[in-house]
Amino acid sequence: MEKLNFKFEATQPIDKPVHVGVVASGDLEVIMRPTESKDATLAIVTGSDGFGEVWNNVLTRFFARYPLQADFQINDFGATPGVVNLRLTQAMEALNDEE
Amino acid sequence: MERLEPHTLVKISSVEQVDTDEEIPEWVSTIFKVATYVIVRRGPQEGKIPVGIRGYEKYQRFAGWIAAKDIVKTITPGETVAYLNSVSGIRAKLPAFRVANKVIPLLKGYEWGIGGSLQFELATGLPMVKQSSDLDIIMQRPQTKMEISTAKELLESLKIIAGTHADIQIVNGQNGFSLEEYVQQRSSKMMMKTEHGPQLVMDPWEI
Repeated sequence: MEKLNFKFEATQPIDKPVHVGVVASGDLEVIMRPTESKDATLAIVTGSDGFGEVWNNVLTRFFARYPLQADFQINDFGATPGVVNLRLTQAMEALNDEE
Repeated sequence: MERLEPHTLVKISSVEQVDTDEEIPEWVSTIFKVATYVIVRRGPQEGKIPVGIRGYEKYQRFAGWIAAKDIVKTITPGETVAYLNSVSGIRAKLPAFRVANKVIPLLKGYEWGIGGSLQFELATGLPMVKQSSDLDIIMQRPQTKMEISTAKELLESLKIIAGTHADIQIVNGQNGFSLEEYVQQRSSKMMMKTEHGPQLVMDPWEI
């Protein structure tokens, strides 16, 4: 088990918390909360150690496209980069879901 | 060529039959000396079949491809359940094996099987299951859509048996989704793992 922290410049504040994904093997959950900070901050707990650089690549690409100003908590259970990207995109889309 | 479903365990003859661009790690050669098994991964099966190799440790995962002609034997997750009887002694006392035996009556009427480290140990006899291993349940998608209330009840009973968090993966050919995600209904779409990577879908029972 490894804990990773990242910070990215962000410009788009969010107005509500979002929770997507599940705790299942090959998957992850993303919890996104509004923040006072001017950045996107991420706290990641992952069951697969040694993938810090892969995370950095996936996240850099995501925040370049969607600079969401939020506090992210991610619990990962060995998701592939494709699944990580899909869950982040889903969290972003969920901001627009009707209540 | 008959298509193999993801999670099918395949016996081949040697490590040379695994096609890969990468260097084969030492642990792969080590485990292949005692068990020449690979697991079918999701992905197109045109010409070659995508497979994964697992080692004793969680980080030991290696991806490659095999040719259909090299298949000696296949074992599906469903076929693995019958092998639970053969687990004895201290291995049978491991939490994941105890849970597996207890879920059999709960899942009666469903077409289901066992994946992950339990499947591997049941098929090969190698001690792959750890104290911390979870039971990976893989269920063939029932013909009629499961009501959310039914799915919720099923998962709640499963969690009581497991004494911890538990989920079921529902599969239909190469497609697979989490029953827990279906029950939670956290957002309008949910994830479906497919032959061509993960996708967000509105209704996982329609695809």
